[in-house]
Amino acid sequence: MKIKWLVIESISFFVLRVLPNPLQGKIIKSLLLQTIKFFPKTTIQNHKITSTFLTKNIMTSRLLTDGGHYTGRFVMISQPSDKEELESMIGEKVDEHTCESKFRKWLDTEGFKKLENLIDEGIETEK
Amino acid sequence: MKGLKLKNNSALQNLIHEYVHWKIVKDTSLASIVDGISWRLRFDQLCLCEMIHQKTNLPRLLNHENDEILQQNKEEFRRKINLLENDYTMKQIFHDLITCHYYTLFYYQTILAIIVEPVTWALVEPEWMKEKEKYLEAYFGELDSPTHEMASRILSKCELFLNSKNSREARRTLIKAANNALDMPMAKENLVDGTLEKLQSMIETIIGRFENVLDGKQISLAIQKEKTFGNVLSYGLWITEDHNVINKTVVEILSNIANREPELFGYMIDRMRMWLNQPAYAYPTILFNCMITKDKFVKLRYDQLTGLTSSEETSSPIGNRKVRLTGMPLNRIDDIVGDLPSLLSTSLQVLYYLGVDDKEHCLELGKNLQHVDKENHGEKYYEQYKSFVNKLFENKPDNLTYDSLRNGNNFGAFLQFWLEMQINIGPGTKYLFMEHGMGA
Repeated sequence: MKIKWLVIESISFFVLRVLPNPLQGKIIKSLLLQTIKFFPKTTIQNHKITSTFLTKNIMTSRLLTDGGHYTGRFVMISQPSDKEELESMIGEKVDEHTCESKFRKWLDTEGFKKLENLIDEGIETEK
Repeated sequence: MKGLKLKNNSALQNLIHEYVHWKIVKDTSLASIVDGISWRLRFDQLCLCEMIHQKTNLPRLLNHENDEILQQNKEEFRRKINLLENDYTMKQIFHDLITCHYYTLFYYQTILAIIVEPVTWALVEPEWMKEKEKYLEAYFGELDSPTHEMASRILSKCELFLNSKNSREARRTLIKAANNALDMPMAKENLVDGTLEKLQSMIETIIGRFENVLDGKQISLAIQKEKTFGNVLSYGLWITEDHNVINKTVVEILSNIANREPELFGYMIDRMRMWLNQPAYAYPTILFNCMITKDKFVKLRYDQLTGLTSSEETSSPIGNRKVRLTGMPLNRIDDIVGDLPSLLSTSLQVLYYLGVDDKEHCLELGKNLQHVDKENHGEKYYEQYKSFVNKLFENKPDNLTYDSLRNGNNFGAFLQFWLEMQINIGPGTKYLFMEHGMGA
């Protein structure tokens, strides 16, 4: 699999960096069509929906509006926090222009460590 | 063991809750499958929407100017959309799309939630643990009683485990047990077939695995190489029987877009090349919504995949690059086509709620509209959304149901419904989207 991807990546690099645009399109198209053949057939290929049920047995709304993501890739907080809560969390004053970079800096320097620590030690909520 | 004091800060509480979810789910085979299907869903949306734009000239951006065009020419757009009803290729892609939608947002979600939620609550939600029944009802009340009872059983098991071995090690073991339980080898037991029986047997298998790890027993795990980003992308390619036709069309459309937007495509290839052979879940992407002033809503992003960290910051995920066709900055992959691809999933979601007569959650789906627009149109958008939903629940369309769409019927009626959402809700419609994957 690794070699297949290396081949695809190398061709992509050549096509995207070296060739002029109109030719790029044709080659990309052909490359992508070939790429499909590289993909391994996994267990999922046999997926079929054999039932038409949509009943109470399916998890729905609560999970869709609460905010996280179950792909294992995302940590998403969709319920908006206010500025004061953000400042209290990252320990710094922020404004519209600095909030994102300060948030990222906090995560890289302290935030992730703090989250790990809270998981390890547990939480007692102070009201 | 005494826990750390956490001042009453819902921002940090929300973050820690979701972060524990991520630690449980990351790098597991089930999450890899969900991620793969989620990517497939996004590609299907992009392609179907691109085909609609090409065939109808429907505006790609839903701004106020284009909204006027839409309102003035709505009959013409309705007529053009109607002509797509029997387009075989589009119907095939739509069938693939709704299949992926069903799996990510309902089927796998149920399987994962049974274990992810109780373990998270036991670890970082001390207040919830004082009102367990209330939260079990809120999260699992809609499930049948055996499944509901399984969630309750997991919660009790976690509580007992932490009480008997109250230590840092025990807390880590709890996360490891949940993570390993979800990391089943990529074999037959990972297959789902949409049936209730399979759903329940899979949940039982996962719970058995979880309890075995807590009891100190060895269980089999998935192989690491099956979970790289490259493999994850490939999982989503085979979800429906007609995958060859669909794959060919998806690739053709994506390559046309690549030709139209070579700089953006080049950037994405560069980024993906860095990640293709990495485990899919080495780092979390964080999206944190914040009201920075009373009227100003911002999304704070942290994403190693696109270079949004403190050491490698770009003001837009792909470094201020703009989409040639629309002139808009590329913030998410959908922007390559325009404002509307994700509305396809949202329309399906609305139809699902309509089918189960759940107006409350259907309204909640649009609640964030209140916060989104820079020029303070948020409240207006939400009012328009509410009005649309109210009318819809008063006059339910006869045949247009989520179930009928999954069975391959009413594609034309669905497209009309998708267009009516734009006509009725206006520019706010573009904010009615969910991020990649399933919410939790």
